[in-house]
Amino acid sequence: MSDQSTENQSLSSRRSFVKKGALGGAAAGLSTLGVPLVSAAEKEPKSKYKVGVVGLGGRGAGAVANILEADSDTVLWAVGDVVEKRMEKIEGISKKFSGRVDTDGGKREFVGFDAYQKVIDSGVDIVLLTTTPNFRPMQFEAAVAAGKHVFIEKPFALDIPGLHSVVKTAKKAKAAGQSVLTGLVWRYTPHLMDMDKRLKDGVIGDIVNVSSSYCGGGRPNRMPDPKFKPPGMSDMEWALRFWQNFLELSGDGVLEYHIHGIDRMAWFMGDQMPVRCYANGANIDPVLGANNWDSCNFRYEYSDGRTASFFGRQIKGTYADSGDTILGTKGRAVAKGSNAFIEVDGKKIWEGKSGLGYKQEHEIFMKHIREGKVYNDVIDYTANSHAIGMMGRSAAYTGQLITDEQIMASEDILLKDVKNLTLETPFTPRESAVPGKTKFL
Amino acid sequence: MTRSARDSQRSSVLTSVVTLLCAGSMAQAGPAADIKPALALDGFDEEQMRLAKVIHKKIVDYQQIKKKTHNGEDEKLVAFEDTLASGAKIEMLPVKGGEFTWRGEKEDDVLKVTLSPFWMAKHEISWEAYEPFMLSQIPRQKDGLPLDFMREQIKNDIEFIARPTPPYHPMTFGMKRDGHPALSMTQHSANKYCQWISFQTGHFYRLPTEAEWEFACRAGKDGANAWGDDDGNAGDFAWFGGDASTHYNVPGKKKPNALGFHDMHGNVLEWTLDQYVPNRKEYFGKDAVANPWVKATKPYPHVVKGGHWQQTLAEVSAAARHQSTPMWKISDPQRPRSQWYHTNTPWLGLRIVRPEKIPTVEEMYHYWNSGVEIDE
Repeated sequence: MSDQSTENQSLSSRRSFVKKGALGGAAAGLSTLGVPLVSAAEKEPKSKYKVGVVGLGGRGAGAVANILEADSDTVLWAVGDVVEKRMEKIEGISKKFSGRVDTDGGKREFVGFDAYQKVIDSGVDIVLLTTTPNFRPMQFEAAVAAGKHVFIEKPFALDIPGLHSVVKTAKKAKAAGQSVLTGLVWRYTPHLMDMDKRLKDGVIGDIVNVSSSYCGGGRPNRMPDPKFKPPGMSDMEWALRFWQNFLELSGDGVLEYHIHGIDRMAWFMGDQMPVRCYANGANIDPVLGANNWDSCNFRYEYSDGRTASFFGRQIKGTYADSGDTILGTKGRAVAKGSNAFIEVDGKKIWEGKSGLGYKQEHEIFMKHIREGKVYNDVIDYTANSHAIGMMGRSAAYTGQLITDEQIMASEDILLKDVKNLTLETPFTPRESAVPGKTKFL
Repeated sequence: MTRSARDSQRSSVLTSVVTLLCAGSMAQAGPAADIKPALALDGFDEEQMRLAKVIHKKIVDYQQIKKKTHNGEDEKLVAFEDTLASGAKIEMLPVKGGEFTWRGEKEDDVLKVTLSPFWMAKHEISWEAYEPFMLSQIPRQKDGLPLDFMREQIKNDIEFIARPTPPYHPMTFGMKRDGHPALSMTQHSANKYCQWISFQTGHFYRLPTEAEWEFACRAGKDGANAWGDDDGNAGDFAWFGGDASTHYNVPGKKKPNALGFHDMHGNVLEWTLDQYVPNRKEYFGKDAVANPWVKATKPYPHVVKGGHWQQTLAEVSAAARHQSTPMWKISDPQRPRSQWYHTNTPWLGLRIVRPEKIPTVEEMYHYWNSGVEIDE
């Protein structure tokens, strides 16, 4: 019954294929930040690594389990969240991972909007950032400034200013010898890593087009009619509870969910930045009071004339593949669900399947940390994927052609002054976008 | 509700439950069933017990009405069709009770089993019958209950039955949907589905026990596989032996077994109620059992039967026993993992049964609430 591929490729061979910084054409925007890529001052490896988690929701607890499973000499040292009730989960983690949880009798369990800083300051080596994503650039900056290795869940930025901040921080981390790994899990999924290696070996020739889709079975955490908001609950508390419904807190389904598929498209296109994008999208099954869309359709053009497209939908009861069709000059590769194959001259020359690499990504992360090597996929490619997502979102929201220079120069901040955010901070969501009317910001 | 909150609620009603049991309500359940571990030892969740009582009353009342309109006669054990609120139909076929010899994987695991009569669905449950349950119209917590602050808005008890949250991906895994079997639900989700359709139809539904499933598959008595002695005929009765390029199929395209059930072998694996034990005779500690049920005490492994379209002939046979495993949720990024979906089982479905005799409230509670759905 195991879905695990036995053909995991080695890390070193895979990494050697990343020939350049992934920011491609977008480098004009992202590389002007002036932080030089100096050779890393590698951190001295140690035996036991202390892990702190910021955000103990379902994904945060999942990431904790993943890193504890991936490396047997890690310990959960500190926990932070804005919701006190989540601390109840620690007992369960402690039961499952006997002797691997040490929060000093609860003294390193912090509740509040400043909990992230307390976790960072608690003596941890590694920080897992798994809160709602609007806090990510700020928390990432603080964690790297304090010398921590960081697992940074997707999406790590919701707008271009946020992305610039994350890239700047990631460069600092690299210079200081701290590893950073993004939770774009398909990158670390064995059968896709295996397929990608073959594609980079040229088995289907030069890749000329990638068509990807990533579709959900419905909106996650669908918000009830706001008239049901209990008396005494602030607008911000309501919004944070149903954050997947709001552009300001999730970056739209585009960044919150479809980023997985956009990242795959970007990966198989060689991690370059497209130069042009036009797009469509809509809120086909609207949620009252929410401004996120549930559908998007992006067309990208690259500087060498190649094209890529992305289809995303989150409407319950609808059918769609989640996967990629990759066309090369000599053949094609198709990834769908947990399976993938490569076809040349109408014949299958390779097939693979595996479960998602939630554990594998932490194995790669910990291996680098333990060997004193610096891992940094943000600079290598995941920042590029986020930029591509934002480009598509802007093209769809406005209905206009968006260029790489244009998107990278965007100064639109979706949620201002995150550092001082509290439950009392007023929250008024923007109007849901209308193509042809909504202006590019 | 957190587990600890639920536990404390359980213990608070434990006393009254013990009183209820001592008053003899279980004694009216009919012939002794071999159920291990014994039921009702850890108390009941208050809300789930309330719901079980509501549905039990509907079912008993409906039986009385039918009896009155049929000149005082009991319902006959014959084929019938049930219609859900959505309009989806489920055909049910009778299985007379009886005895059979139940052979396990171990040579000494031989049990004489006596079963009471029941109906079983002619086909695996389709998306048409399952999806309206899966895609709830009201927002739900991860445990499938309505959001805490919206409870007062809900007028119909059926909405308090825990139901799936929206799936992360469409659960057809890129295959066709219409007419095909529903896929990749957890056993807990299958149990809750049975409760949900019981509420709608006024008939008590649940998953089959492992013994009931095998008895129906063997068409009663000590029958063989549907294709008899010649394995060469298996392809007439079962979808099996496929690979990654093949897919599941619309039920009923292959020949039925002698009792009229289609696709018991192959197509999609089917849930049973039982936890997997390697040696059933050893587990029950005797040679003969009646209506046996190995009640789950942990999230894995539970028994699934019938094999699926990608498996071998041996794996789709009546005897083959398959076990659920945490690997079925390997792609679930959250902890606790989903109570509703397996992320990696595009070949797992369900078929339902309706026992002829209406169980007690307490029994219904246990059939619909495994208590082991939280999967850390």
